[in-house]
Amino acid sequence: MFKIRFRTLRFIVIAYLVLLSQASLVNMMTLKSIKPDFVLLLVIFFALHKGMRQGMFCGIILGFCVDVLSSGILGINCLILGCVGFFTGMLKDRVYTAHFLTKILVPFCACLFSIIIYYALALNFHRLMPFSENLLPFIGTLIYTALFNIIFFNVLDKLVIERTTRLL
Amino acid sequence: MLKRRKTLLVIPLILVLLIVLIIPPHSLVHLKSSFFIFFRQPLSFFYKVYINLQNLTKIIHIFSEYEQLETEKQKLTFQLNQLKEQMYENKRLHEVLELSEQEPYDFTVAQVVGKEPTNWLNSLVINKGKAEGININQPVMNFSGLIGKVIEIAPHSAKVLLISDVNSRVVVLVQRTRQEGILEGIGRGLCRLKYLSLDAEVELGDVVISAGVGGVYPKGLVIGRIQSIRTERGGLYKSCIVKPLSSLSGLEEVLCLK
Repeated sequence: MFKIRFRTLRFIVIAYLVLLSQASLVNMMTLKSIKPDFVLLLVIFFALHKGMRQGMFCGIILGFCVDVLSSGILGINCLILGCVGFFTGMLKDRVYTAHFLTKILVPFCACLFSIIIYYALALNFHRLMPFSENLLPFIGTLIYTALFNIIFFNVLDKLVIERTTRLL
Repeated sequence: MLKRRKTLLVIPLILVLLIVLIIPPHSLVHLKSSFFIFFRQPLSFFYKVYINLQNLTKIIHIFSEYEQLETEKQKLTFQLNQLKEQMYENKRLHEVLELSEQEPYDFTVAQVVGKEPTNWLNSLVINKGKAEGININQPVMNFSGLIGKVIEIAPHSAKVLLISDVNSRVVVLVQRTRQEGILEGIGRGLCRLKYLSLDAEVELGDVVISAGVGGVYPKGLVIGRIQSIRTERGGLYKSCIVKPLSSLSGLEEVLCLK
């Protein structure tokens, strides 16, 4: 029982640090105003390891936190990350998570999905740039986030998975 | 059984979707600001670390920049003396013409404690809020020029919509020719000046200032410089890309005008 609680607590701490970094330290890695989406990567990581249900709830909670930190509409990121968690969770036991390609392709597809949903939803509330003008930032975000995931997953693997195995 | 479970799982997602689509966004602002309390202090610490790390990377260029700044300082001192002369002359003329003088701006200094976490919007979080007298729609600037306006307030923090955000609009003037247009954000730290007539005289490097129309931004706040000019074939207007004078990426302190 203690082990489960300890693992949950550790994940909450990691999630909190990732959220804070996304609104501050990640700006150090900005290339042409594009930064990697660490929160999305964390949801993908969690969903791939825990499955649909946990992935979705993790996405909803982290998405809510992103909405609180953002100037956008409350609920948009909540919904997007919830969906990402849900659909990525479906891939649990279907893909080999340690494979190099999984680490690139899954975030790439999830990021593409999140951009499309964001665009479709945000058009109701915000005024967004025409899709054609935003194409380069979109592609940049997709590639940057997907490539950065190799490092991100390796760090999380060391922090979460390896330590958990040692504890068990 | 498993299928039913999967169907049940979608219910929270549908609920969130309904919240997003049905509840008016402005009614959720209070909920957002009350949850922001959990992030305010740690975010401020993280942002300080980010600023310090960014300053460290700047050290590499510090020596070459020092020499440039020295020559620029000499130029500016010369210009300052000229401007002082013009200021006294301006004052005398104001007295002769009995024109009312513009009152100096009253402002509150606030520290930036966070930035927009997503790639699609441009906003900042500052450490002053309702308790410190910050109000919605208050213009925000730094010593280089206008940077945005307050859009959300919490008791001790506020969110600032930057002029480079796609939802930002400012009525502006080209300082040299007094041509009026609308400045809208296009992301990536840039803005677009729209609705300039085709015969408008604008040049690269022209300074853009706020026009004082609309009741949000006072007249004469410096915003940026024209970086490129575009006239579309068959278009009715000219448009320009404007680069804000203040770098919107590494802001530390801002001034909230009252």
